[in-house]
Amino acid sequence: MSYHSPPAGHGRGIIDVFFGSLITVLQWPTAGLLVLGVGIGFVVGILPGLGGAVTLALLLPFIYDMDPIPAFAFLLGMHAVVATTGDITSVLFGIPGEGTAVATIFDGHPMAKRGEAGRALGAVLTSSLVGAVIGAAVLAISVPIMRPLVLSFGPPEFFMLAMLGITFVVALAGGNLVRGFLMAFLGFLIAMVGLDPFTGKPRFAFGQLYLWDGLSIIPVILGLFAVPETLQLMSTHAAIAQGATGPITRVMDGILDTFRHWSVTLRCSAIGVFIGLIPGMGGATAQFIAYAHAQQTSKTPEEFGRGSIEGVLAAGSVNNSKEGGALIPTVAFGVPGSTAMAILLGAFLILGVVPGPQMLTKHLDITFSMVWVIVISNVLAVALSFLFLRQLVSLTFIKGTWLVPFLLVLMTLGAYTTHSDVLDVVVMIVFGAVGWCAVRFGWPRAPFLLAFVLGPTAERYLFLSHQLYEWGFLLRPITLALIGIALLGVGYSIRRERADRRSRVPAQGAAA
Amino acid sequence: MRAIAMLASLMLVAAACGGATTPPPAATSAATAAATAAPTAAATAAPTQDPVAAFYRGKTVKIIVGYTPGGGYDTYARTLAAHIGKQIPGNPTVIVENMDGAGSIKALNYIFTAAPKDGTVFGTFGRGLPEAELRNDEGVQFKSKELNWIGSMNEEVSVCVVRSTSPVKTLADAQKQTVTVGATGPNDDTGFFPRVMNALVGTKFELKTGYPGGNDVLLALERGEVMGRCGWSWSSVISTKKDWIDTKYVTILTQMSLNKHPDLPNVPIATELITNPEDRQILEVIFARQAIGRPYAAPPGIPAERVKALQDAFEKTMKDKEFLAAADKAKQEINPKNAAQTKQVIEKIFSTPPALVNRLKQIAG
Amino acid sequence: MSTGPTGLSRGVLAGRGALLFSLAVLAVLAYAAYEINTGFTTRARLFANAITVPALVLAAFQVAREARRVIPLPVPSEAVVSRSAFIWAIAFFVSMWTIGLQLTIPLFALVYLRLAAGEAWPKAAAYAAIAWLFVELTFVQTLHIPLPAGAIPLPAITN
Repeated sequence: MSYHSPPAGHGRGIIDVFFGSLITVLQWPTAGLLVLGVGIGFVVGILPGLGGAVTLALLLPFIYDMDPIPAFAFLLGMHAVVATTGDITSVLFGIPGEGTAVATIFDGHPMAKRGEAGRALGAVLTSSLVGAVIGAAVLAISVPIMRPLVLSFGPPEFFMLAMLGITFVVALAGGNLVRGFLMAFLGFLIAMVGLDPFTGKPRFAFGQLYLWDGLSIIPVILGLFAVPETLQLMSTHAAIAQGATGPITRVMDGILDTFRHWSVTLRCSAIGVFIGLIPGMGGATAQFIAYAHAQQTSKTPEEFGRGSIEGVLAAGSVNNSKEGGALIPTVAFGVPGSTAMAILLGAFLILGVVPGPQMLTKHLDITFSMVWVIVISNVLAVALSFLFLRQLVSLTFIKGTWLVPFLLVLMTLGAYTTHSDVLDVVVMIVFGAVGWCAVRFGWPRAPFLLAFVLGPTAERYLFLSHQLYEWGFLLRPITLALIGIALLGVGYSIRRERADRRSRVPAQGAAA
Repeated sequence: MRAIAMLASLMLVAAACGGATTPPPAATSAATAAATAAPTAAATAAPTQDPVAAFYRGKTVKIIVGYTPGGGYDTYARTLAAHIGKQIPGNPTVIVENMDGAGSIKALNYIFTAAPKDGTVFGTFGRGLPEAELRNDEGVQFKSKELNWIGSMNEEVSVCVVRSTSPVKTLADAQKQTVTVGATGPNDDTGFFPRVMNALVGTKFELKTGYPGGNDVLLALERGEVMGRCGWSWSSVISTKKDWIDTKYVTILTQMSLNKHPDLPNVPIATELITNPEDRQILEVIFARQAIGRPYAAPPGIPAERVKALQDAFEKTMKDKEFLAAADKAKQEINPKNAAQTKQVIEKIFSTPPALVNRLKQIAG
Repeated sequence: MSTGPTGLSRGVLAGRGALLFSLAVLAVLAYAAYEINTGFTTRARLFANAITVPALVLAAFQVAREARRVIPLPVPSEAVVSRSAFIWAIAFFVSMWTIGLQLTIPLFALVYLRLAAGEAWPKAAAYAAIAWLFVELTFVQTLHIPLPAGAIPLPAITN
């Protein structure tokens, strides 16, 4: 079932279809819907908690009477932009606008505190755009090899990839490997809450129906990251940019940084595409792996977590490139790579478009129009952001107390909208306490979050691999290679921890 | 645009509320005027004194969906929501609200216990829930027989398929040799149906469970990790993998429902293969869920005339040309049961003798 | 009410907090291990034990390390939280729990801006009104997300 060149009956080349779909996207009403989608996505991305997936669901009813391409322009345009603008609040307030914008906090927010919000935003937006273009390009190029590529990965490979991701991110913990691994284990443990996928029995549910589905990522993220940040803002009463005297925009610097460190941008975009491709890993994972990679390959790893521009670029470039990747399994197999993709899959079915080989043949124009939508919507969103950048940056210079009621309400609503359940708010408060303790006592939060996200995937695939191949699954070639890379990662972190101790640098590592 | 619609309906609410205090003629004219202005009220409201119409005019009716957006239950509900409003007297706005959790038990508990009992809320949930109640499963707080059933949008027929390259060609082969099948979980259709077949038909399906979704199972089948999938709704076979049937990429071993699907006259139905009458009765209880494949029910305690209005509206919608065209476009198979027929299926499930319920528990456990 | 960055950063907690937190982690893991090996099915234990057993070892090691630590770690600047901040945050959630979010939004904005931030009443009131209107229009009216109601039944403002 490989790729059968151009669309049946038209006799056009693949290149013609590619540019033909650009023209389709630019036609009315598709272009108008794209702009509308971008507008909605822009706002949704900025509001913490109100996630892209929830919004996609809310927009679904509107597409019933649309044709496929305008409908995707609307939905995908919205979705692609959410990831971009989600980074804005991460930089400005240290509060992730989206689950995919957590890694941006690590360096983006320290920069904002130094008064360099403009530069950080310039960098994150530009690298986002570059990432989007690379992701879309990969999506377009991989059309012929999409199916064999996805088919070559089975449960053992997925499991090892999840493990690899964890070891990479534990390495982020720098000087406190023990606490890093512990947080990862705790994340796995929390991920186990809910119905056991093999027997359907509730685990750690304490008789609460609410816990049957496990904890949702949004309340957990908001608790871990947004609550401590807001508490701090409430304590200092000062503007976020305490150290600086007045707004220094320096947006141009940020834009140039993207190209000055072109290698980081490129590599992290590639990581985004690859992680996006793997079902069950998704956006929340890609950011950390890219960030960890950037730190490990940096000449100045000690700057990470204190406002390193490379860290900002890593987090920025990954968040849109992964969209291109995530679309591949969705389009080619109907296997969604993330929650948002699952909803998008629902949209496919509503519109009568069936994911599968025909998306690469008969409906190739739709696939390519998606590529264009990702690119165009990001260009629009970044342009729109730059338009408002001065006002956005000035938010970091107003009194913190003005932001507090607004942020509290948005966080609460963000947690609550996950299931429209007050217990979601309770979960946020509980993890707020955990998050604050973690910051206070120097336990890294990123490994916890990553393990929490990857837990269900890792468990399922470990169990499946064992059912399918016994322990022999560990000896498959790709699995072996992945184990090797993971061991190298751990070895590297141990060496660094030793080096850190020898040089007596206070064990702070990433503020992650 | 949604905001504008909502503002319009807010005006409607105001008009309706005002109607309670002002003399009848003024109220009627205000409500009618507002109703024609509202975008959802396509048909002009008849100037009658019908209390049901008066109640629903300007109201918002919510369809609770026990699953996340984008899935089968959700997309069916959204097609229904878009078309049922004009069949309900007073033409209320109809919206969908997702309340996912615990395999939709949470949603049905809500509908049964906490939802407003005035006819403004009804919902859809897993077709296996009445049976879960019969088995006395954990977490169940609803009583299926007390619900006000509205109907079902489709009768589902599920099939077991194996890849045509495998040595297993018929169900008889599957009784002789092991067939690996991929499953998402032991109690989902993909896990439950093969377990039932093993217990009652004597097949040798071996579960490989833990795949994240149905399409992942199909992917595993393509990769050759598993030989087949048992518990795949025929409507979704047709809408997503019709080419697999056309090119004979997979072989259908059996179909599982109370009645054969018109598309599959030559595929044996599982109930035919059982001779023991008790086993057959258990299988029929289990397959009863298929007959009410897309079930809808409203809370108990709603005024009877409003229940009737909803039931009638549902039945009319299932015959509405515009609705059928929309469903067809979304590749949703519509093979409805009205309220009375749905109620019959429920009665049948709950007339199972206790001894059989115990066997059912063993099979399901 | 103190408003400066004082409070919990000094005193008993500062010295032993890190140890207490490590102990809490150990306790959670120990409970989980107990639950896994008494309540879980054999199949589900595979992954669960692969996680909790090494975690218990690491947690014990971490507790031992904290117990031996003589000089407490410096408090990172991000973790300095004043007592008043805690109280205001708790007040917000308690208010939400009692009177519902819809009323809490304007009320909290008004009181917080006046008392904690020392803004003038008109400014605080304007902020409160805008915050309420924003939430009402986007979440309630446009997105149909019903806001959490309070434990004390109050007539809803809309609907």
